[in-house]
Formats: sequence, C-alpha cells, structure tokens
Amino acid sequence: MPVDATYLLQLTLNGLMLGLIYALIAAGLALVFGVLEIINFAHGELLMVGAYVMAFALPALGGQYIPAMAVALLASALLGFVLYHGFLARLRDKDFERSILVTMGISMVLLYGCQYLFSATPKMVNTEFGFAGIAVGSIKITWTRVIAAGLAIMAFAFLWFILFRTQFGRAMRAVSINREAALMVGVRPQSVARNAVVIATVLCGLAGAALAPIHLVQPIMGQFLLFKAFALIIIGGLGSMSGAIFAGLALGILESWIGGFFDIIWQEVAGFIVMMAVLLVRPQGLFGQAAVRTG
Amino acid sequence: MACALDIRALTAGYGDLPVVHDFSAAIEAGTVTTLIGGNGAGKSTLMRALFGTCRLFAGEIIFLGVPIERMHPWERLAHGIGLVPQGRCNFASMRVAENFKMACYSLQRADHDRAIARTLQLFPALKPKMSVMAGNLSGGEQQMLEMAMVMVPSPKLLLLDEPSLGLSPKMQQDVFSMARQVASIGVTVLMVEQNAHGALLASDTAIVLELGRNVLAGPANAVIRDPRIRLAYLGERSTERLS
Repeated sequence: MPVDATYLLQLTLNGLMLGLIYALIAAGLALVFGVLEIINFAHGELLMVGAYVMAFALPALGGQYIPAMAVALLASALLGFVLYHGFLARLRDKDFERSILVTMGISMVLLYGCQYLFSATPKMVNTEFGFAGIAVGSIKITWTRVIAAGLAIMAFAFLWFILFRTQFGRAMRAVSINREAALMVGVRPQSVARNAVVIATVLCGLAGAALAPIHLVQPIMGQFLLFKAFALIIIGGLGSMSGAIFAGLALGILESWIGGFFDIIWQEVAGFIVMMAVLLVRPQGLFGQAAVRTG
Repeated sequence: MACALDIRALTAGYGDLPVVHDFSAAIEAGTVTTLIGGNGAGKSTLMRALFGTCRLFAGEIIFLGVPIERMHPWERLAHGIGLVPQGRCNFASMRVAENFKMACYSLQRADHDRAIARTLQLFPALKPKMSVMAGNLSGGEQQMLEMAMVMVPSPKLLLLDEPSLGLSPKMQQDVFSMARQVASIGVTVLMVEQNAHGALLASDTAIVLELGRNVLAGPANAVIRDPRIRLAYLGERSTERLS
C-alpha cells in the first residue's frame, strides 16, 4: 500500500513528542538506579503528581503555561527532597529488596491518596494557547506539544551540561561508576544521592506537567508509563543515561508508526517485544558496557 | 622526628564483628611504614578505619594532634588523609583527565589546574594518557593513576592498600619507589603489602599484624632480618636477595 508522506511525517512528529516524554521518565529512572542502586517503583507517581500540580496551577494562574510549569517543577523538586530524606536516605547499602518495598508503598499511597482527594475521574485542563498551533504544510501541531518538546530538549541539554561539565553532576557519574573511588576523592554519597533524586523527580514532573494539557490527567497515568520506563532502561543498558534517552525517543516513534499502520493494540506491546529481543541478543543493553577491564 | 599519626587501642571491623583488636602504633612524619601480615590479619580493615570507611568500636586516632576517629571520610580528606583502596579504584568509564578533575572534588575550583599540574610532575608517565579511558589503562598505570588522584589534594598522610597487587615485578618496584618519592616531599606513607620483601626494602619502619593485633614493630631493616618474620612472611629466598 502506498504510504502518504504527510501521514508518515505526522506520525513521526507525534512519536517524537511521545518519545521525549518517555525519555524524560527513563532518564530519571536511570539516574536514580545509577547513583542509589535502587529501582524506584514510585517513579510513575512522580509524573502523576507533576501532572496534577500542573492541572491545578493552570486554572489558578489563568491558563498561563510557563508560570504553571514553574510551579509544577518546584513542587516536584520539593517532592524529590521529601522522598529522599523521608525514605530513601534511610536505606542502607545493599538494601535492594527493601528499596523495592518502600518505593512500591510510596507509589500506592500516592496513587490512592490522589484518587481519594481528586477522584479517579480524568481531568482536562486548558491553557492560554487552547488548540492553537503552528501549521507545517498540511500538518498542524498545537503549541502545547511544541512547547512540551522544546522544554524536554532543553531539559536534556541542561542534564548533559550538569553531568559532564560541573563537579556537582560529575560526582553523580562518579558514584554510579565506582562508589569507593568516589569516597576516595571526598564525595559525600548522601548529598549526591539527594541531588540525583531531586533531578530525577524534576525530570519526571516536567514529563507529567507537559502531558497535562495534552492528555487526560488521572491518578493511574503513572502506572501505564512505569513499566514502559523499566523496559526502556533495560533496552538502553542499565545505568546508561544516553541509552535510556535514545531508547525513549526510538520507542515513541516506533509506537506511533505501529499505531498508525497496524491495530493500536500492538502499540502497547512494541516496547516489551523490543526489550525481550534486546535481552536475548545483547543482554547488557544497547548502550551498556559488557565488562570493564579491572586490572 | 615528630609523630604524625598516633593510633591508640583501636578496635575496628564490620557490623558487629571487630577485625582489628586493640591496635596501637605511632608513625613518624615523612617516613614510609609497611604493614605486613597474613590473610585475614586485618590490614585492610586498619586502613579503612584510618580513612573512616569501616566501623570503629573503640580507640583513638590522633593525626597531627587532632583526634579524627569520629570524622567522616571527606572530613579526614580535608584534614590531609588520603587512602588508595585495594583493587581498582578509579572511574573506569571516564577519561584520565576527568578522573583528575574528580580528584579535585575537595578543592576550590581556582586551584584545580594547579593541583593537577603539580601532581603530573610527580607522575609524568600519566601525562600522555590524559585522553585515554581510565579502564583501558594497564593495571600498573591504573595503580599510578589512583595514587596520583589521591595526591591531588596534597595529603599529609598517604595510605596505600596493596599498591603492588597484580603488577609485574618491574611495576611493583616503580610503585615502591613512588612511595619513597612521595615521602621525600614530606608526606607520611603507610602501606599494606603482600610483597613484604619489596615493600620492606623501601620502608623505614615495619609493623607486623597478626589476627588483628600489633605483634611487632620496628625499623624495616631490623624486621626484615628477624628470623620469625623471615619464616612467616619472607620465605627462604629472601636470604639470597639480601646478601
């Protein structure tokens, strides 16, 4: 069958937008895994909280996008701070199982707490932009999507700058590469872990807040995305940030194409099929390092 | 010579298990001291106790007149104590230059370049390797890199845990002469070594540790001749090498 170029471009742009959201979530999950060596099961709910803050801040601020986004990001940073000092800081080294239970508990409390407070009824929020957008040929993209994509790209540039150009971020990479060597050069592991959790929460909150004016906001929204994010960090290579971001973008585009040309049901499965294929062919993930020379 | 490090009745270990018992020693400034002892004697635990990365049960550690036993590792680093742990301890997937940058973590930003340049004068072999991934260096180069990284903030006490482990005899000699060179600029060096013979030849003082206790301490050239030590740690071949 002939493929309409405009239709394909439309699908690709939609997929890119979705992929950026996936990449934000996966990057945060990979960062927390690398630095704290835990899997954060509450990661999806961090996104949901970001979306709810945006959904309440937007009408309160007269629909102004950027100020509402700033409120959502601030709230996310605060949430990350509380999450770390309230719970994660109390985990000891090698407390992997306990970390699963603790973060799962937090996930459930946030999920059902939110449902209790705001009901499970999906919320729709509008922004100052409404449905206005830009038109490229016959393709129309709403401003909310354009700005969301722009913010996500800025977030990645900022993240790269922090991780590779500042001592603050370099210390996060250092702890995830070799904890003992990080102590050797005077790093305080607790401060680095707190910084990583706050940054990861803000990335996730950004994803949620950017989704709020585009999709429905509901308590369960994070759950749908969490397991996909797990698949993404495995595809990318556990602990590899660039791998997680690349896998997120690729999955977004792939899902969009599949949804456009096949039954939509396959869209949800695609990521997991890729994950299983990667695990069979390249268990360390696309960007993972097989083994590091040790001496 | 002044006493740089005074360890008094130190008991340290992991969890509820003390490994080092009631250990006391006084180490003079600007000397090289080697700690020898069999497997499980508590040598590495003692090094960790001095840097603050294992549990302290009792005792005091006085470094240049300041009690440090309650300090965190980063506070001890700020007081001039550097530890090169056993095994590979660098950032394998960072380039050597970035490893040096991380080694500056405890310094002010304005001092980074100067500190790195000064350390490279001591370790010139690392200069051409700056853009190599640390994990791709040879074992000996990685050991040099780790010593260099700890030297970046100019420690006054350098703790080396098995610096010659897994290295060729030539590289082992290089590591020991590096320890002497570091001591010659006024740094106190305390090292743990399996290669007791090579390490003792490069040392001023030796401490023998057995089952977590200090059983013998003295000038390295006397310890190396002690018949009990020769039998336990040096083997017969050392007789020929000495003569």
